[in-house]
Amino acid sequence: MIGGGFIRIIQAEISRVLRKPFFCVIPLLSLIYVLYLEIGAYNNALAFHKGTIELPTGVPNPFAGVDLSQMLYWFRWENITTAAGATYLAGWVGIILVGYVGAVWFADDLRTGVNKQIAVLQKHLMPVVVGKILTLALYMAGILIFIVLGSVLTTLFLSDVPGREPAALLRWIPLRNLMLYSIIAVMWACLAAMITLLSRSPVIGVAVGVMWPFAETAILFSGNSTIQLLIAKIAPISTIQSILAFVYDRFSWVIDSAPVILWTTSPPLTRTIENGVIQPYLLPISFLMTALVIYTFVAVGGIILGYYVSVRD
Amino acid sequence: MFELVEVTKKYRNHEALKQLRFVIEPGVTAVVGPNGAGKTTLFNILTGRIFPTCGTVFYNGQPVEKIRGNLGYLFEDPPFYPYLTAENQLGYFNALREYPVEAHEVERELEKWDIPPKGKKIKDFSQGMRKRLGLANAFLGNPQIVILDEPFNGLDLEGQQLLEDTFVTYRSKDRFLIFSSHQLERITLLADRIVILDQGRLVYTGETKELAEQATKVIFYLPGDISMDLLRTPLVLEIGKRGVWVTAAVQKEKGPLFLQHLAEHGIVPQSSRLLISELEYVFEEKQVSRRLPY
Repeated sequence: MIGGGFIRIIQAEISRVLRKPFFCVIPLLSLIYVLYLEIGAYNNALAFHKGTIELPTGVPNPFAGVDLSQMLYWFRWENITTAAGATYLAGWVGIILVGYVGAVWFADDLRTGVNKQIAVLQKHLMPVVVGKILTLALYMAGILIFIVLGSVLTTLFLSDVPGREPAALLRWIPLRNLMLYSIIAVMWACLAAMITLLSRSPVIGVAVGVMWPFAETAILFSGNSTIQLLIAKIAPISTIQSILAFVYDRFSWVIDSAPVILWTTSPPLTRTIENGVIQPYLLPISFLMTALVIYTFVAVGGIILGYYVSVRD
Repeated sequence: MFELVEVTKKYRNHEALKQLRFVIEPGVTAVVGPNGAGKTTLFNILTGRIFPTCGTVFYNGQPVEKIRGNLGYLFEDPPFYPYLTAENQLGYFNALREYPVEAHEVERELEKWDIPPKGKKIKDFSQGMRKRLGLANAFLGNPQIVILDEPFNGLDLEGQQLLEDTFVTYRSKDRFLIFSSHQLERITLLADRIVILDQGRLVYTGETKELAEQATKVIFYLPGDISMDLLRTPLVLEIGKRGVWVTAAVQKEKGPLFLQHLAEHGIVPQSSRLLISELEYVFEEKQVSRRLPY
């Protein structure tokens, strides 16, 4: 079964997924979450620019005299893909939604026993499982594209947004970042799916997919022991955060020494101790990508193994 | 044909199948046995979905795993996605088949089993309708081998008739229909061959007709406190116990004489079943059952 068989399986999976209301709600929730932050950041930028924002007594306006178009840098269409996608994945809501989807993706097969029926209908399970994984990847990419398009369209209603150039959406950097975000989302979703299948429990899969980001961040931020600093270099959420920092290309969170209203900020979890001072730092992107790819391959392998085991009594 | 060679299946806590060795010829074969006899486990092994702990199953000389994807199977409780309609579900399964069929065949199968294709989601189906959909899936594409686990359970009369009509088409030299049922009357009518399992062991295998011909007895159900002396008569072939009743097996022709014998001692058989399915008697006889000393 090559080519036509794969397409047939993916078409069938897409058709199934679209008929489950849950999978139609998730993109909407994702978009609402990102738009909430987008519009909030826009309003903050205006308030800072006009000086109408309420600041604590004695605290000067850090953006006094800064050009509004510079403060709205991340709303430019050449940058909005980067900002929207990172907003979604850097925040708790986004990564949790991704983990939840991954955990639930195979849950119906386990819960209903459809996986066993499929195992009778199809001698070669590999194309079916890979087809389901590819559909999950398409779904994740679809959510990110949906978020980006929604963010772009929203800027049409935000009058001061500069740089609304449609061609800018198709430049290499935004497309590269969109691809990276998709891989991140697929990686995290597949890890949650793997837990569901290997434990044969959607509840455990959801628990891990949803709670792991909290747990990892709490553990890594709770101290600076050698082990914690080492784990921070390779743990999955830490890897994701570091990649997001890379795509922002903005380690100090400023542009040209002028402060910029950022849509979202999430410092990387990797850090080092220099002269007794904790300093966040970024690992090389090649290392981060290798980690991302390894995690994805491990997750995919775990899904395949878990599915094969699940069809046997 | 299917050939089972010393097939054993062990799970963590028990042995579901024990050293089965028999063949299944083409045609309609019934697999019978009490709950826990190993029927479903046997079926799962025949489909190639699970593997025996020991032994091998062959189909026409090849390991049975090779036929996976080329047979129809009905689970006792057919699995479906609850949020799909019948048409979507059957279309989904068809798309994932090793050998999918044309879309019009899916529609035809749904029509044959009188299943509403659209509008109603499977979660709103009755048990009988779910069973029909499972049967539609099992027979889709007219597979050469069909295995049905308790196909008659939950079906209404019309569905049962439809299923029986389908059975007829599998009474041929190159097709297999293997099914399980607790309805022994139906087995007598539909099955060419019968396999009896009990506690994972093979108790009997052979042609249904031969088995039925062996049964020429009648079983009487008598009060549990009946005196054994009363039953020590040449008329009684075998005494047993079934629940609260004592059973006495008598040659069919001697039935009236035995009734007279009972009446002379003021005993009236408690059960109205003076004549039961011959197959059921033999089925009982072939099982490991409790027997009272004669």
